[in-house]
Amino acid sequence: MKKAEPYLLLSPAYLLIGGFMFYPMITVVLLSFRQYQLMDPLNTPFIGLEHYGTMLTDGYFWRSLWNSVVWVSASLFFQFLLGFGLALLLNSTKFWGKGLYQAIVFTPWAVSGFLIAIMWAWMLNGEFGVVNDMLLRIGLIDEKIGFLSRTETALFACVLANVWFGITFFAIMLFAALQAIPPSLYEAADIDGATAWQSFWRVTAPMVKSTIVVTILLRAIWIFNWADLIWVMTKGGPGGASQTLALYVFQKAFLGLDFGYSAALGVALTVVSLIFTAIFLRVSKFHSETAF
Amino acid sequence: MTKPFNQKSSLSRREMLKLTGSTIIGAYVFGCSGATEQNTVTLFSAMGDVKNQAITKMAETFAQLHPDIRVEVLQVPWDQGRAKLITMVAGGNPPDLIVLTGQWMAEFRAMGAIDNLTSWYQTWTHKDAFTEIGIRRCEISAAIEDGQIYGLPLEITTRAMFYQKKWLDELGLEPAMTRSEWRTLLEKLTDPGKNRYGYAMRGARGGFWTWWPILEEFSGTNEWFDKDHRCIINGPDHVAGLSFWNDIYQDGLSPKDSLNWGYNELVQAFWSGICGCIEQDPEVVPTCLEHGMDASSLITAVMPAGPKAQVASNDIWILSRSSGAQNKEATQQFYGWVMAPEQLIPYSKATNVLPAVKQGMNDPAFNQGFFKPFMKMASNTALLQNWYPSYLPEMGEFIEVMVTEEQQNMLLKRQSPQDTLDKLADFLTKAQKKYVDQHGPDTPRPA
Repeated sequence: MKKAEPYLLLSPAYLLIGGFMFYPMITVVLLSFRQYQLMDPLNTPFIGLEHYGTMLTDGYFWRSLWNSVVWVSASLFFQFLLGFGLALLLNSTKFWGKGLYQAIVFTPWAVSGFLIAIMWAWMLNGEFGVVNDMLLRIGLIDEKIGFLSRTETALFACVLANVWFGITFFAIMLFAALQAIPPSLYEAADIDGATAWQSFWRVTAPMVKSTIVVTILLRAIWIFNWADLIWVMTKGGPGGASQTLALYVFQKAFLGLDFGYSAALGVALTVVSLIFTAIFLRVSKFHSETAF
Repeated sequence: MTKPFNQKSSLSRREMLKLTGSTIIGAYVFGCSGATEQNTVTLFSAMGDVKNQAITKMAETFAQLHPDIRVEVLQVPWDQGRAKLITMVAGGNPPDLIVLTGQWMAEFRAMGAIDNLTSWYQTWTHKDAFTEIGIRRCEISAAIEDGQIYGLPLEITTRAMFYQKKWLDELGLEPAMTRSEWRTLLEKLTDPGKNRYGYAMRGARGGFWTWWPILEEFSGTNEWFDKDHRCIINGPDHVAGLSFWNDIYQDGLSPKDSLNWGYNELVQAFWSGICGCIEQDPEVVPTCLEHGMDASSLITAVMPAGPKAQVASNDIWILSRSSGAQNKEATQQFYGWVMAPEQLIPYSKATNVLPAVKQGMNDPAFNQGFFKPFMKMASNTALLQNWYPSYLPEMGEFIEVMVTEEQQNMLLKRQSPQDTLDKLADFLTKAQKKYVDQHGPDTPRPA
């Protein structure tokens, strides 16, 4: 009885986690082995790995996976670079009204993704968009560019909106991490004659490393799974040029109503995320205390 | 000043209990507003805000006349409507009454979700109230089949052409009556130097609804399959129709950016004066008027005729009783009341749609000004009625995912109209054969 007690006390938590996390996940995995068209709900035979076989030869799947890679890496690169830069600037300068300035800078993170998408879709519109208007007035372009209607630019237009939105997340998180570094470390580095680069690489970087790794990892997974921004801006078009894997899952499930195949795609999405996480944690040496 | 801990609270425990109790009872009484749970009728509607509100208002009026019945309108956004309804039905929790588009009827009937209303209909006072087109659209969408009634038309939606009247006047032009005249007109209206384009093309989601009627006009048929269940939409006439649509874009008669345009961009491009014409439902008229257009700047006209047919892009919203309706008597009482011309005509006026009842055909409100061409389109029985094989489970994916991608590939010149239609026809042939294997060769066909 004594032995069982801790498990008994923990069981409500296990039940909750099991019920709300593992049950839906297992359901999705099981669903991926079935033919499940919502339009034909009484005819859901077990078909084994057929959906996974289809996926391997499905050109849309591979294209959307590649688009996802571009979408995640481009968004993440600029978000991190600019977000970290912003955090460093906010951390190293002192000026009147800094609190208010910070609040304004962090605002985009509080705006809903849906709203951001609508805002950027209108700004980048090829006919009435303010971006085209500005570029024309400055004289950088001679004729309007359909940012969302050209295959070469559609995905990057979405990346632009995503970067605008996501910089703030990195800025908030890294700014908090930077503030937690004791000033005495910099003083000691100063006394030892460290250059600015050395004090950044030997003091700042190791101290914020765990925050950097966790934020990049979190954000990568979020961006990978995030479909609403692209859905509102381009619907995955033109001609599938901005269709990511998450969006493909959404389209298959809620427009095509093919829940079986979209469940299989969803499982693939999860597996890709897990592989990425494992590789990333290894490459970034998350558990060691040196810089990268 | 903070309150000391030992000071008596202004509400005693007994008073608090009384207050809570009476609040709960009050909320219960208020929530029920005189009707018991058994007499609550639920109505599912995904028709958009304006129409949902109009239906809700009718439900309230009905509740005043029948205090023992409460009608609860379940308002669902249009683009989630079909999936939500399928989920409710498949989950065994269907609403009592369902407002369906003509395209949904066949699939929900196939699921066994719709009740047969024939015996009630035979004794109903208003059974002869509906227009010929209203009944025909019901037949086309399988709401009426072999004299059996599964639903009646709440309204008719149809399309007409909207033109910038001032542009036409400047150039001394009239709305086009044929597609070839229309093409010439678009060329004349287009002037990129002035940032003017003839047409606002719907290149993204929903573009199918504009180019499919053109294919029907060019081929003179609304059939999709031959006797052997092969899809015929990649025949030469259909290809000519799609090429006609594609050329409008390739020849620069619509803005380059329209490749990515959906409904919102389309309507804005029109009222903001970038595009000379769009084809739309009558519900767009108030939007244009709100943005400063009036009789001097806006004119509506019937859709131009193609080489082999003039097509009415009609559809209906149908009110049906769910086969899982809990309280059939109360449900039927509301149904009979709401489908009477006295209710449907004011509803149509409030929501800028056309009524499907004879009495409304002669109502001056629908026969003048901007509405006249719509009424002409919706009442002309000689026009070819557009039709889609919506009984196929793959139709959702076809229209929502596949068509949009393939049409954009064509507009991007990655494939020809022939290639585009070959791919689409191939997909549908497979879907149709699968359906025939499961349900037998008698598939629904256009009436």
